[in-house]
Amino acid sequence: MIISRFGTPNTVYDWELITSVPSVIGNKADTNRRNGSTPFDYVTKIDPTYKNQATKISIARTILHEMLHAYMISHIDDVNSGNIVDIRKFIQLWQNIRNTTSPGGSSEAAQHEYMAQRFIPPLREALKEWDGASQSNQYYEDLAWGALFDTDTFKYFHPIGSVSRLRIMNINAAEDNNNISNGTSPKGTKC
Amino acid sequence: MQLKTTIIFQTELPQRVQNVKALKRIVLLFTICLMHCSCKAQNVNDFKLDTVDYDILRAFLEQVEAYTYVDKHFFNKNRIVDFIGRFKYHVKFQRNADSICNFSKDMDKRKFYCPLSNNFAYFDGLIDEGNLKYLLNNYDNSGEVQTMEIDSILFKKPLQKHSENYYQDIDYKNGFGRAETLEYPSVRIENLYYNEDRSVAIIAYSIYNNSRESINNYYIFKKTDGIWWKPLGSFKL
Repeated sequence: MIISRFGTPNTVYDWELITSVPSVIGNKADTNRRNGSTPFDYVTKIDPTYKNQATKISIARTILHEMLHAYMISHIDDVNSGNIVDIRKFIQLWQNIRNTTSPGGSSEAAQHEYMAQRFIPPLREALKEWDGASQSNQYYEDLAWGALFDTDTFKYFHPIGSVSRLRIMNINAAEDNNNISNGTSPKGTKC
Repeated sequence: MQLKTTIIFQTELPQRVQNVKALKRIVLLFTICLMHCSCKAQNVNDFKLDTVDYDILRAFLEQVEAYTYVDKHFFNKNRIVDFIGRFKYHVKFQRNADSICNFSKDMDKRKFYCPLSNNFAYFDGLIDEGNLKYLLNNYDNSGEVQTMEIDSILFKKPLQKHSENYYQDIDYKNGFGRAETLEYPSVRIENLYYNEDRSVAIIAYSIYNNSRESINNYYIFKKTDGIWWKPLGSFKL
């Protein structure tokens, strides 16, 4: 469904994936409307340093994560043009957008919350399929949480001090850096 | 052979004179540009946070989640073009939502758009086109990083100062690969903008949730009763 949105011939939605420094230096990647405001036209920038350093499965996870951002931003653009056909699928996203009032409550934070609430199992399955199911389900699910550590959902399921929280953070750091992180080795291989 | 050379010289001469004139013009333009740029750079370098700036910074930090770390630097980054693009998107969104809320016959649509229109109402009319041009003309540059008087802005809420180790470890220019510290989330003030009559203030900020994940946003304040800065909110879309 997501791929068909961007991949159908003559679709109004355009998503471009490039290797370039993201708008916030230090981020692995980010996805925005082109020039910040062009609706239906999205650009994902993958940090070149990250791309050269991370394992393939880490990059695959990041691309899936950014694709979900592009999907959600395209839905926001639909709503902006008066189209609410898909609105039932995105009710939680709009609740998150409406409810967040603090400076940390941007659209990106709302999208992360929505991803954490709805997309961990699909991300896990996509990574497992891409990787030929050579590792445990736990490993793919842990990776699916990457970049979602700031969400209330993650904090609820994996509170500070919990074993699972530490395991998830270490696995993601190990794959992102292709390096041992607090005793956890990467299982993926470099590009 | 000599004749040929002479002919070439004669035909080239007016061209060469033109080239020299063009070169002089370029040098002159370059000199003017250099003077202009250095003056502009000088102004940016001379910029110091004043008491009003600190009032707004305090008001902003009041909105930040408790126990967040606050970076002591004022980064002076150029983010005005991004701000204007996102502001215009929010205004357009609010107007569309308001229009559907007021005129649609579809009750489901009205139920969805009316609260959103209300939620985003403050964007419409807050900064007009003239003021957006003013912002672009006056803030489309970066300046030197300043160190804020951090103790004077962190006295109300339980926010945290970064340790010296953090400042020693962190690599602001090349964020990826910098040392991990546990001092997150961390908020960075990247710039502060005012509209022409200084009735609206905008803080450009980032919140780093860990060393590789952060958000960029803007918080908007409106001067109210000519006395205090009312926090309006940040971008949500």
